[in-house]
Amino acid sequence: MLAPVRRVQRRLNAVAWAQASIVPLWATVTACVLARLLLRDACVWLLPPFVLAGLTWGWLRARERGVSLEQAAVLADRSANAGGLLLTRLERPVGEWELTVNQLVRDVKPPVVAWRRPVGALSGALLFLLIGFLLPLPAPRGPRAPHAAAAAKVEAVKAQAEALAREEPLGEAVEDELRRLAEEVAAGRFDSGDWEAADSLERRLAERAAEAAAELAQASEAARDLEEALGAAGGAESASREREALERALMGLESPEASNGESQPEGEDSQEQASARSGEGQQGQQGQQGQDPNGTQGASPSGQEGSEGSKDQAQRQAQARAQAGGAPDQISELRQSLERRQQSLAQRFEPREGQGQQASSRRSGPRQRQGARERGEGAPRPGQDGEQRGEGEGQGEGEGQGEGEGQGEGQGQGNKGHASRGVRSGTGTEGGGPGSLVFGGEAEMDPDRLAFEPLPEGQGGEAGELWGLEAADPRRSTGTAGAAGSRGTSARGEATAGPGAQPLLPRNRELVKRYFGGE
Amino acid sequence: MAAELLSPAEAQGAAEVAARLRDNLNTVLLDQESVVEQVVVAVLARGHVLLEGLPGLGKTELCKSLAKLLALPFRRIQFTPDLLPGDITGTYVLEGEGRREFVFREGPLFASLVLADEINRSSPKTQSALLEAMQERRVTVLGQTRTLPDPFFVLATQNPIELEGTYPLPEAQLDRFLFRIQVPPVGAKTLRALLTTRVRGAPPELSPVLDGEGLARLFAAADRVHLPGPVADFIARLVEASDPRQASAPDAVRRFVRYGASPRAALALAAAGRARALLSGRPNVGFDDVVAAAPAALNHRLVLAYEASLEKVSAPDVVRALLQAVPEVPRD
Repeated sequence: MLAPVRRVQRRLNAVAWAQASIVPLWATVTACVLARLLLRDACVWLLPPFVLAGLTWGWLRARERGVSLEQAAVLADRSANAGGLLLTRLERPVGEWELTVNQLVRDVKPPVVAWRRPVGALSGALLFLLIGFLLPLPAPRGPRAPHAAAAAKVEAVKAQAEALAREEPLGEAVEDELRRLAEEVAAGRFDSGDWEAADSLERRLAERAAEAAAELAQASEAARDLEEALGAAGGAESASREREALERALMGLESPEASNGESQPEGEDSQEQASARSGEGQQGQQGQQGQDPNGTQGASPSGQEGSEGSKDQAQRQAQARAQAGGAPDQISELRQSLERRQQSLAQRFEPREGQGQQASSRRSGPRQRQGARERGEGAPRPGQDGEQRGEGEGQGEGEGQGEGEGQGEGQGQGNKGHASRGVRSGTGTEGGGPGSLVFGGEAEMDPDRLAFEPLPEGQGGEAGELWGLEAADPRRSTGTAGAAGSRGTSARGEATAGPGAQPLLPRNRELVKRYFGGE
Repeated sequence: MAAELLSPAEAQGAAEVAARLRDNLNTVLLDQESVVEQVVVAVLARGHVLLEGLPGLGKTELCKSLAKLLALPFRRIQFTPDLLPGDITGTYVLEGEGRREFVFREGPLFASLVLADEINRSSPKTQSALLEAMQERRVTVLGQTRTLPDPFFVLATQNPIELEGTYPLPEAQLDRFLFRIQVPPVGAKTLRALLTTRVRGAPPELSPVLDGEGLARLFAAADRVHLPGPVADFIARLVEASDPRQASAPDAVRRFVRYGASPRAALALAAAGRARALLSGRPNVGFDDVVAAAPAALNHRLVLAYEASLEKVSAPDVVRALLQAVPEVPRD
């Protein structure tokens, strides 16, 4: 008797439960798919709670909508047109009516249920789940672009600060600021104010680096002067010793007794010296005609030792250095060390021309002078007097006034500076030569230097959302912006004095004092 | 302990007797099968009936025919405005010679079948005298309570159009009636049959189909008809939904009903359902029995609001809306 009623109940419950499960299933499926899209592999830990919550919700809804046995019996009674006899049978024994009940039970028809909508909705949810989990996910995104740029910026500033710290102490303020910027980057709070602080710090470091480079250049120059002075002193001392030896030889010639026993070596020595002098005289004549094999451009007049050969000059210079007790070698090493430090500092700040324009303009002065002197000192240095050296310097300065030429030759390694920097160096520091004054109009500006870079996301909005920001796009007026920038940096280059005009630093001053015997 | 369920033979026997009663009444009241069936159901349910219709539709003849068929003592009371309660309940009369004493003379209520003709023409005082008789089946006169005969039926009639000089029955009085049956007018075919089959409109001679003992067995059989739980639940929800203050009330009830049916209406529906099931030869009440009995059992128990008269919505209309709104199987 209960079988058909239960059949009706199951049929009705199936539809009722399916309808009740639509919303929980869709919610659960959506949550699972979203978890997979947002959390990727971590969604595995969230799926069981989601499924459990969905099942609980669906069970509660299905329990509310479920069809009871009594309701199913009513429907079965109505479908069989039993007039309540099936209901009575479910409540109490009907005795002789049992046969009638059995006949009516056979007439019970399963109710017509609308199963397509709930089944379609459930199938759609499962299909959505399938698609959501089979959909390939894009590669995980790395750190956010604004943070990466900020980190790169802070790293660059820190590298500059470390390079500068090798020359001079940075101070607590700079170190604290660097530490704070690093913390802001690590915490993801790097905002526009931090960007400005980083730029300002980078600018200050560049200025201090320029000053340090200038000091190094001065020290290097002083060391070079000292080295040259030592070389010249060594030459004079050896000349005096030769003179004394010659005098002693002459005195030996005047006493025949003494000459029989001792004049042979002296005579040989005098002959050698005489031949050497004749050689030096020939060499001096060749130098006067500009055919010096060392490639010097300085016109060497016929000096006192102008006839000495190049081999004798090297021997004499080595002898002078040996007599000077090794001091020239130490000074040379000191000078080379200073030059290396200067180049290292310059290389550290050189790549960031945009921020270090002022510093480069300051550096260009001593570097240019140094290059000029290297050119002028090429040949006349060994064994020559001060007159030769004076000519070399004058010619070197004259060539250094050209656009970029002085710097390139001075470094001697083909390091071609930017055209605008060449303009600055020529007009700013080494003025006075025949080189023409070039304004910014002829300068070439790399448009990418002023390429439009939107503010970091969250630090000032998107470009399209700010009024007037597109009008400030430098790509639309590249030529004008480049020329103006060139002129601006050129003005700063002119304002910086060259290293020669600055007073000697204390540490270099002490070095010079020691060399000149405390004077 | 529930009574034993009717056997098929018992149910069939009761149904045959009731059908014989119904068929005889149909020979008296032509083309009014629905009215006759409802009257028979009300008799089987031991309920009072209020017949409402135009004059000349056979209401009084129906009552007299029923009395003849049931072989029950029959009294007719013509209600008039000057009718006093004592006129229907009975009164003490000083009688005797010599030593005279008050003797109670029973009124017309002391009959098994009382026809209260045009009940709405009597005063409320007289109408209220029927309250105790109809509900308690007893009367109290000068402090003495007297039991009315069993069975006791009141079949009242009223004219819905002649309202001048009438006293509409109060709700409490109406609630005592099991059914209020609207007697519809008859058509030409029925009139023709009436003209050709009857001499001066006299109904055919009727012979009793039931005696008092047989009627008592019918009543007992009706009491043994089982009322299933879902059907009882349906009756309860139906009565509950007739109250406009209930959440389950449909819009029609909320708009047009001021007061809903009383619990007595639920009892009336259950009793009428049992009677109808017995009339159909079934041992239990079905939903159809309740639905069929609901209009007659509920229409006079709904107190309509003023909006109903404005929109010409009658109580049967509201009951029909109620039946459509309340499902047999509760949703949710």
